[in-house]
Amino acid sequence: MGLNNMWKHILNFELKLGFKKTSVLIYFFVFFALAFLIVNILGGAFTGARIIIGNANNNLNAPLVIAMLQNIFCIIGVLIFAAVFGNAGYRDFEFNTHPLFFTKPIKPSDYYFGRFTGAFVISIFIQAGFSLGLLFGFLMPYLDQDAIGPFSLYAYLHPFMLLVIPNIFMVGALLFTLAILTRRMLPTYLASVVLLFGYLTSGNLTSDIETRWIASLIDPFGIEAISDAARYWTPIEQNSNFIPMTKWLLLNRLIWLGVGGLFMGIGLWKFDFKHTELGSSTKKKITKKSQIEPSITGGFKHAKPVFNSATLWLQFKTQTFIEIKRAFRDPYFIAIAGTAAGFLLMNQQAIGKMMGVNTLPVTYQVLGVLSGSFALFMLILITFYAGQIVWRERELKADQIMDSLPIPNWIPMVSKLIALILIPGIMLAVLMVIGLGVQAGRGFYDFQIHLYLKQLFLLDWTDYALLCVLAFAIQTIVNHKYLGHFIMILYFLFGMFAGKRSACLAARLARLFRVGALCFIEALPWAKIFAHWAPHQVWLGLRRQL
Amino acid sequence: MKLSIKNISKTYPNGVEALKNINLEIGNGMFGLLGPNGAGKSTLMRTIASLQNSDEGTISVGDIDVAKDKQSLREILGYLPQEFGVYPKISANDLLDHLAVMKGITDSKQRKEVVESLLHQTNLWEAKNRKLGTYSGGMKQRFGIAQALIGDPKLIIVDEPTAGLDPMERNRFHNLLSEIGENVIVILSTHIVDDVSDLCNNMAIILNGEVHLVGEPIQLIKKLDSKVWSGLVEKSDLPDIEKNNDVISSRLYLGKVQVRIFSESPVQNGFESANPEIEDLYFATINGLNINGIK
Repeated sequence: MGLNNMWKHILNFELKLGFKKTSVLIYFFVFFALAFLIVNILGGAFTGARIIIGNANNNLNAPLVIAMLQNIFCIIGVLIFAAVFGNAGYRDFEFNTHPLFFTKPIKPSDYYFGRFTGAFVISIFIQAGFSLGLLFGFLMPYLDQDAIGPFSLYAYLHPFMLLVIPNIFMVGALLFTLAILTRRMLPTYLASVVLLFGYLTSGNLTSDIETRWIASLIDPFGIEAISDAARYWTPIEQNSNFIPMTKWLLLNRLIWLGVGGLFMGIGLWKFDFKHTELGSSTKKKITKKSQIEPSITGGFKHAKPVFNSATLWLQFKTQTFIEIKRAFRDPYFIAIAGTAAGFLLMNQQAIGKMMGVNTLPVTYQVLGVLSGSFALFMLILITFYAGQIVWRERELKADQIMDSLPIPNWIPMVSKLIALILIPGIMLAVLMVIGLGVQAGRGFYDFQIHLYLKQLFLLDWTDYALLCVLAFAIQTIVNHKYLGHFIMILYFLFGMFAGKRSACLAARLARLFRVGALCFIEALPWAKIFAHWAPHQVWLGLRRQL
Repeated sequence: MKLSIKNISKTYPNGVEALKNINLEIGNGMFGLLGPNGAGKSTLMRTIASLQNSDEGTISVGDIDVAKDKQSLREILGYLPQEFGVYPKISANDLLDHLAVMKGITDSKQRKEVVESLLHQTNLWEAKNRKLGTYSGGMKQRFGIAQALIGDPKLIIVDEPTAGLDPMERNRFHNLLSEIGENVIVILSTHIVDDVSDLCNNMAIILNGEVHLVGEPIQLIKKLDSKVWSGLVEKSDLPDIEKNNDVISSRLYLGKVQVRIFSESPVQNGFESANPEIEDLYFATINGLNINGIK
């Protein structure tokens, strides 16, 4: 094989490796099942529950609906793309195999393109799971046939080519470049979270932009451009029209493909086959030669271990302390907290406006806006950190030493859980400071601290603590980090269909996604049961494992 | 105290038979577990250290049943895994201190003394405040040794402890172990014959998950007395010699081949009687020679 075909060889190897991975297949089937489920809910397969997207008289499988659904789940998929592209860029550094590859007579660009294209194909495959789920779902004969229009393959393919693939390219180029240049995984995850969360919260901002073409262009996923193009469609047009190629949509696609290309360019320019140099601390002069002490005996100090309840308490305290210290010293936690605070500040303009009328920034209003827009972010943070905390020892390969210590299992478990529960607590404290700051900034000094404490720490924190327990339990039982993340995300999605409180979250999510009128006629009874049943089961399973 | 391993077998889900009916009695002192890579040493060590359950058999230390009472075992255990990681952002001093608490050294003054003496003993004193992430391979290994010795363990399991140590550090480690090793059980797994011959008063050779040879090195070697023959031959003669003799080992030396042969009677063609070494036992076992009266 000529060296010219090297990137193809790397690509093939990458694909062979990728499609053998259980996680890739799981992502595919979960996306497929999710889409199938959504179609069934749309089509009224479950009595008493129905979602309506867009106009109530529209066909359920109108091309516009199919396009929107595919695109929304492509945006949610960013979290999965982070795992796929991040892995492709970071794997060799994680396993220390980079000296093997970097010393082969291949060009860095071949390595780069091969790895990137592999992750790109795998991501498209996973995303196709969702599209196929929709397609098969709408073919089901038991659905309300009056509400389903004629089948058209083009309705699936066209948005897939126009929206999904370019979006994956753009996001993937960013995530892959980050992984391969920083040689770490966390910046990639962080970027994906910031991208998703930033996109969702900035929704209010872009839809407020008066000049529509600007909004159409700056939306990286193209949703603004589509809803603009379809804004004045008649019901008949809504049922039958495909996404029109308006010049703004076309320009939007070109711009964001270009941005993706730019990321790739930066990656190619900066990436090189070089050994990772450690920080400067190792380069400090080591003046003292290692000298063998003349007397080998005598220096050894003996201490008799004591094992009683006081020891347990001390072990628990120190373990908890070290877990908390590790969680909060993590530069990424600080970065995430900072980013969240930034988004909150961006969002604070909504405070004190009710139906366009200016009102005083009273506490319940501030809390409503801030803690509301924080919810989704907290879910992501808890999901992500549960994985980090549970997997830390195993990822560092320190688990054998830790597991052989004479401490009962509950000590590491409980101390890790405490550290995890403290994370949303700290975030809520940040939120409180921002809330008070916003009030003070507007000259409103009637602070009602007790309201803050009650809402944030009594109500919200309790909820988040329960979520922490759930996320922690799932990570412990599933025993596969990314699958654990994904199950949590599924749980949130299910939760959206259950209960009033989560319906609010769903409505908020829907608004963030600019879907327009997404409303719930009635919560799904089985989803409600699932939402209550699942944590209980998980808890039982956890107890059994211990 | 005595460690007794009875009928231990382990087959991994992928079908690899890692341990096949292992039986060993190990008393106080240094016990060397010698075997090539992949022989099942680490699986056996992990099983003794209560990190892994066997499919069959029992292991007991004193009156502790390892599989049933892990906590009691861990209270007297010092364990150095073959491959391990550390928290990269914490200093050696802080992590040792933390692990000492976990091992039941609750008195803070005592703990400080223990940690400091271990840092001295493993020659990490100068680097005790450096983050572990900046440690070199050998330093990390020494840290691993230090943590295994916290809290006067009665059972010390060290899996390939000298891997990555330079000769001087290896020496220091041998001295440290031999100082501790008289009154406790020390199990040392290695593929380096010298580790065993320098230190151990008992040994076993393990191969393909089976114990092939067990006993005191001195006694074992005695049985080879005047049965090992050494000679320097041309490379081209080697195939013939291998065909007609029980070759223990052959290695290149000054452009020729140094061959050691096992034989009850003298070997012709310039072979001379040689002093038997543990290495001869090891290679003879690996090469499947039937060294009568030993097995």
